[in-house]
Amino acid sequence: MDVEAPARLLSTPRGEEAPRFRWTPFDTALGTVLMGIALTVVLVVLLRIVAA
Amino acid sequence: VKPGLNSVLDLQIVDLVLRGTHFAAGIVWIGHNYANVAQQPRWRPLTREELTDPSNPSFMARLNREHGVFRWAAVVTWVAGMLLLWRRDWLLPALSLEGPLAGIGLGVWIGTLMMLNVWFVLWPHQKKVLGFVPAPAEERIRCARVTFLSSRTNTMLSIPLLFFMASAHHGAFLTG
Repeated sequence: MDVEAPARLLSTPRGEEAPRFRWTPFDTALGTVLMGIALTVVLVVLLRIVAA
Repeated sequence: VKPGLNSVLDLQIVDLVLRGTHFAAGIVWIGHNYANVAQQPRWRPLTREELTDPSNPSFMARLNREHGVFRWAAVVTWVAGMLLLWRRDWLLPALSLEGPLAGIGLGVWIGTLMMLNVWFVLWPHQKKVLGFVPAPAEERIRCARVTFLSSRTNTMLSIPLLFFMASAHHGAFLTG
């Protein structure tokens, strides 16, 4: 086996359907970044409200 | 700088080293996370064929080194940041979100959550995905989803974290 290449489990069956998981905004980079920006805005607003 | 501490910790050079360490380790940690987002911007289920083979020692050693580096970089970042605040007597006011230190305090809390996420959510599942801990193929594939979500949670949290770190000198604006 080539030690430089990622090794595979050669004995497992191929062509099986991949398991499905519930979609979340984290499933895309854009969704993740938008959630981060939204979280930042929410925290800044909360901080200003609490400190006021 | 906090007076009355021992002379070593009173040195300005310590502050500089801690700040540099905090930045450098943080870049290693968050940079690794961002590189992962760039390499895989969308979720793609792991297939059986893509599972690594734990019997390949060279590959496993490289994986272990890579994951160890960013995991420990998280700890170094966190410790250096806490020491920076502690030296200035800012740690408790920051943690309790007092006055102009509230912004940096939020950053501390977010960073702490992220480090705990790496060590206690991501890594235990990643060990199975990578084959460091034996697990059936189905379990490894399920754990890949958990590690993906855990990693992306840290990507999301890094955005307010970096914002609050960068706005440490704008505390008056943040707190109105």
